Amino acid sequence: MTDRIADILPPDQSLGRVSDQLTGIPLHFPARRRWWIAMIVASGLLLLLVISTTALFTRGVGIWGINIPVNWAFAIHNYVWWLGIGHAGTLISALLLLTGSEWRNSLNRFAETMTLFAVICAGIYPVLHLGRPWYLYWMFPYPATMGVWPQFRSPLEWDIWAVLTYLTVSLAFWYTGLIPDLAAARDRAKRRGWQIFFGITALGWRGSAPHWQRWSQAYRLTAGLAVPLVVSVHSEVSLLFAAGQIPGWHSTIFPPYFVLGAAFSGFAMVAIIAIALRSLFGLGNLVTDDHLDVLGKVLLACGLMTGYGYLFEVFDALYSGGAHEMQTLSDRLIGAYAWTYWGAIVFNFVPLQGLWWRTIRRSGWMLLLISISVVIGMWLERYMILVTSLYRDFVVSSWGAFTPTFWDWSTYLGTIGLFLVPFLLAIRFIPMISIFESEELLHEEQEARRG
Amino acid sequence: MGHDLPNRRLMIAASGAVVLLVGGALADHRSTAAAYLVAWIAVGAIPIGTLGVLMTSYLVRRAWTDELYPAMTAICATIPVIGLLFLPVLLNLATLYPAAGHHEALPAFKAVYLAPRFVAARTVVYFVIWTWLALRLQRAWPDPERMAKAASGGLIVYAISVSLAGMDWMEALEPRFHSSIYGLLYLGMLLLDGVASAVGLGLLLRRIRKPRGYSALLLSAILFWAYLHAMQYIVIWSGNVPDEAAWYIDRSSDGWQFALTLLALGQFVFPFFALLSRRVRADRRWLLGLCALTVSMRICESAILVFPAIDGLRGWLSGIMLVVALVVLVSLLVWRVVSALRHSGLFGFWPSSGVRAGAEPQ
Repeated sequence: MTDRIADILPPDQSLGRVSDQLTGIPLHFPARRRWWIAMIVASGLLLLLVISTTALFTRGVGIWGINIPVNWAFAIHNYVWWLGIGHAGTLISALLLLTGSEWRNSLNRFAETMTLFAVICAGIYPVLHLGRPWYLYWMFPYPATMGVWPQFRSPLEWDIWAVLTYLTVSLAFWYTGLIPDLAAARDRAKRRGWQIFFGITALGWRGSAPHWQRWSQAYRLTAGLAVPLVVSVHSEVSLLFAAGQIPGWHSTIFPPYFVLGAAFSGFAMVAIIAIALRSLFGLGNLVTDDHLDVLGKVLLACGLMTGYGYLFEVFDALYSGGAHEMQTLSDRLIGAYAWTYWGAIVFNFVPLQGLWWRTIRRSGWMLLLISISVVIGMWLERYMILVTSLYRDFVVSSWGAFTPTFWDWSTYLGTIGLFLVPFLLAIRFIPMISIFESEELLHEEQEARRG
Repeated sequence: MGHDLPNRRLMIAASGAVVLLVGGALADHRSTAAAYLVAWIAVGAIPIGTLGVLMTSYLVRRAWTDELYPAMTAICATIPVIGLLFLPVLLNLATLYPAAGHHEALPAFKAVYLAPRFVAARTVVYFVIWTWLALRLQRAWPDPERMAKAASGGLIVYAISVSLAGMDWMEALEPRFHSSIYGLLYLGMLLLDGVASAVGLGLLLRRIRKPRGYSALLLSAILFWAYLHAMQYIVIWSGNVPDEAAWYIDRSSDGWQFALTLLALGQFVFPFFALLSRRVRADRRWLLGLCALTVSMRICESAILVFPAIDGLRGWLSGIMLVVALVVLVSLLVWRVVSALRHSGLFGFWPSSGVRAGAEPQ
């Protein structure tokens, strides 16, 4: 079932060169100037988050544009967007490991790193949205003297467990995969500080046969846990909407539709980062055109499956004939926020069609532009789902509108800083492409070529 | 001559069963028509589902693309026959589907969309499309470029058409009910049945070299199917809207709770835990057994989806007619598959040589 079709890494390179190249990135960082510029911008955005959060905690959630009936907007919208981006890291790494897809090897490390920081960006939003985050512990089932327990049948309660479990497993998976490379960096480190840093983080890895055997078992087991987690976590996120009765939200297709949407936006982000890193560090020999080709195909497939969700959402509203369902559909297509619906359609699906052509899939710039379009499109989609379902409630007396304020935008831009700062630090200090897995794959390909 | 004997037996069994079906229809038209629909949904899922799996195997080209190709094309060759066998349902639309009787009581879109002639026309279109896809896929073999092209475009058409077909044939039995995942549920059911049929026949034809990967494929299809059902249930349970909740109440009362339990145990709990075992995954007999169980569970699933939706059925007669209709449909399906295999020169497993348990192919 898993027979290899073609080599994905150029075979005319030695294993030692690949090791030196990848461990060399943190040890002798090649793009210091560009890294510092990116770091300054990212830190500025992070500072904006600190200011926005301080304003929020001192003045309350009224500084955001939310009000009845649109009381869930940017916070939950961006929560879903970030979480969706995060999911692709686990999917690309764990699912492709289990299915024996060799093309994951150059992408999995930074995709997993992306997951960790995207989940953190997602996770802070519901906390901020509480308005009084110091009461967060009410979400946990602690033995309160008043006998008050969380509502275990509510997806809002499931959410906190889902995200925390996902973060824990993602962290375990990422770190397990990193251990052999941390040891490789330790063995090549010349300065005492690096030797101690990598020495501690490599957990005494010696690369013996029992080490590899146990490591492989643990890695595959964590991957086996991570894949159903991705599906269950994002399905649970969709239930935040679908479990209620609000037209436009109460839809049975939401769980798979959200999971596929998450994979779609996440793969787009993986493509953006892959192309940026390839160009920044000259890694064309490891993130090859073939990788971009496969990423393009996966992105196209996820996009088309997300399109299926759009189609049957509309069809079911028409088929139901329910007055409120039809009203919400009409609000989406021609209402005050129709620009979000059509924006999502255009950004998600129009440039995407370029990926039917091989030359476009293999062109870094084209794939980058299409992926950026998808990330924007999926952001608009979540905005559309949140706002168009809420702004016209069942009764006319509770109709309203939503306009994001400065603080909505500043908090959102701030989370981009929260994502970029640790990600840039990770690029600086950790091998961003799995050294041993790239070598293993290269070795297998060279052996297969020799027959 | 030796090969004609089982064919003749099949035809005799089918003819006898057709006579019984006619007798059943004369006794109780509605119960017999409902039983036939259930049997057709269960048996029709085999070739329609296999078509989807065949296209996926063209896109994700691995060992399974070559190994399962003869089995899948032989099964897909039955699509026109299965299409013709839907004719009795089309002739009984007014008996089975409320929308075909008094559609003026329905919302405007539904009244037009579920009008009997429109449903019949769409059904013809679906079968024309699927037959055309099956032929196109066969012609594209073994050129990788043409295979990818035929399968990528084909899967888009396939996913949309089977989803609409599932809604036309089953969801429309209860016009008050609507669920946006329904088409996908039918797609999940088809793909599960397609995987089980293709892998099962691949094992019988001794085309499968290493069963472990196929066990994982079957497990994935089971998980996908179970996930879709679970999600529909959770959303409807949480929303608790009367028209939706009634759909589950009909299927968890009057004895249907036992059929649901059987489906949950036979299609999810048992195969899931069995396939977690490394030994089971590597064993051909186990895999063949689980494929057979999966295909037979479609009868249970179709019965749960269809029977509770139709009022005024005579339980015992529906049960007998279901068995009779299954004999007719399975006989014709097997006859067509065997013909296709004989045509491709792969007819060797029927009837004397069975699967060689635990043995690798020579």
